[in-house]
Amino acid sequence: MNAVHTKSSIAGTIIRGADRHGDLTLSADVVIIGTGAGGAIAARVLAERGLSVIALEEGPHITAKEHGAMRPTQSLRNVWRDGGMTFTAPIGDSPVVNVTMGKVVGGSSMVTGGVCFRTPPEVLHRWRSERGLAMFTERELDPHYAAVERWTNVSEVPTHMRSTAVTRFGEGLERRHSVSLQPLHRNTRDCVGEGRCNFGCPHQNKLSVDLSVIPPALKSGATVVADAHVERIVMNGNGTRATSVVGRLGTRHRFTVHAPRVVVAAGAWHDPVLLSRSGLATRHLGRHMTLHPSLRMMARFKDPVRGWDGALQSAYTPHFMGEGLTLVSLFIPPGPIASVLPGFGPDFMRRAGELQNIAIMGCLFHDEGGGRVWSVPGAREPIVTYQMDKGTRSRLAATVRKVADIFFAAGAVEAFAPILQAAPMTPDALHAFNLEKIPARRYEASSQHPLGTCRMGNTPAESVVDPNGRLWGTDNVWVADGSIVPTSLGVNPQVTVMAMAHRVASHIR
Amino acid sequence: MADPDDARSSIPWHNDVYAVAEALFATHAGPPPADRLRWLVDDVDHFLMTVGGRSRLVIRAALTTVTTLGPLTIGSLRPFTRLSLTQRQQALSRVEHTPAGITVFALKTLLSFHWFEHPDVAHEHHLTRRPRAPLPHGVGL
Repeated sequence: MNAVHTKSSIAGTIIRGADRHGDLTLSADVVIIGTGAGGAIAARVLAERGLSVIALEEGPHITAKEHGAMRPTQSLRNVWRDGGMTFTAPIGDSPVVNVTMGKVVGGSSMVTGGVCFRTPPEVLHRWRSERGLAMFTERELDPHYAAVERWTNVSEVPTHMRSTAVTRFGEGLERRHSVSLQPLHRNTRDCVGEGRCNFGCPHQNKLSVDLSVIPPALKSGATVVADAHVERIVMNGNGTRATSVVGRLGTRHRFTVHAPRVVVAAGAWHDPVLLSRSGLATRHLGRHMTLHPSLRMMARFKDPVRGWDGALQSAYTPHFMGEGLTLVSLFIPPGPIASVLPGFGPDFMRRAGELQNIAIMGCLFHDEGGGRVWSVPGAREPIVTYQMDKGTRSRLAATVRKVADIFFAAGAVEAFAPILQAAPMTPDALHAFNLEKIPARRYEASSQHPLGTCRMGNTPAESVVDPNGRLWGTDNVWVADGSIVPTSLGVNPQVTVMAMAHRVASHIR
Repeated sequence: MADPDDARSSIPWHNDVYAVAEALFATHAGPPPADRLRWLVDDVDHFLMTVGGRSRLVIRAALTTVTTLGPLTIGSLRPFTRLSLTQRQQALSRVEHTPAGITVFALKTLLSFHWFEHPDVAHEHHLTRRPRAPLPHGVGL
């Protein structure tokens, strides 16, 4: 027989589902599916309002201290979904995109670089003018931004935290385009510049939601259940009201949570799977996914630039945003950098000896929804297709040229284009190389920003949720994560996701 | 392979990982130390056992493609693991320039990710960290 807990006996705790012996049945005022940037914020808002909250997380509970002690590949295997090996299936001439997500209490906020932008005003304008979402003004959203920025300690990255690699790129940018790098804002506190925020901070100084948002939610009485894979939302007879959610706890046991309010925050990749499996599929569910597909441009300097000595992400330039391109500094561990070096054996290892001379710049594209999540009957994971829009495709070659040119102006001797089988390029080789003939499918693209698969809108004919995040056709199911964001943003979406979740939770009665 | 009898695993694909890694990380001085390669194989094995079936399948498929196609691209019918170090390097290079090149890239990424985490390798390549700001009192690296 199921164990039945009262609300009070587990309030304020994190239950590790994999360690439990026996099935679990709980009840609460609200059940939240997902504990990432969206779910955690919703949990805190609702718990602080006095509602009893149970937040379910498919992944394990790994503390920030445990995460910070891991090697990057240990983080990949324990904290990242699929070990960081989640890919889109390309449609037409599109790249395979490596989409990385967290699968842990704290969700993808555990594996971001911590970059925080408010939604650009021109994007909000587009939501109002093209999507009819008149309520999305900077003024309306300001209190939501302010709350989440305060909770997660969003602050400017000081110039002295830039690595030599970033500083050099900034010099090249000034020489070629007469503009300076701008400081990024991030959710960190007392950052010492270990350059590994997305693989766990050894000092717990990146304030992902597991450190900044979930603890206050627990203090207000919320309960988090880890290792809890939700299989479906149980609806009443006519399918308008959710009554409970059910799923699997670890590998052996089952759980049921009864609640009169259900908040879905499993991310843009998995929300459509869950809603579809729960009989809540609508025409637009799973469609319109944007990714911010990104290219990592690398360049080798004659001397060490040690990109890992400094804040992982410290500066950006808005100079090319009009072209749908944002350049954001970043660093990745030496191993994956080495993988772009040509050759095998002695030639490869000779080049690997200069890993500390290699700088990276992230090139993030403001794309137009060519992604779609396909639920596979009986399977946990969906198939996700992505067709890169023509505009983004046409900007790939120009972006490689532009960023390589900036690196050369900064003194780099060789640039590595993120193109399969492409040799390193000197300035002359770049000039001679017919980049424009390279198909998009040969580009190595990545994404950390899947958005839009349950997009928000004014009518069910063109959206999945209403302007307050409630699922069309239901009375008590809300979606509160990146999947409701109606268009691509062109900047890192963490603060937008948190502010949208804050707003959705504020409207739940 | 260096120390073939000592290094060979009872699990066939471990030998494939070892053989690819040995070719990839060899220097002019010869193959890398066998103990580091064994550490790599163990670590990659643990990684793949942990990350789930789909990722495991992708990597196994990449490994099978490379080790099957590789010898053929250099005109050999010998198993990949029985090729000389130089032949394996040539085979990897040839496969990289076929339409299956992405499989080589996938393996190179996975193996490099693990390899450069080995403390001795990181030290030899000057990949150690030094924080830019003072550490909080009492905190060491």
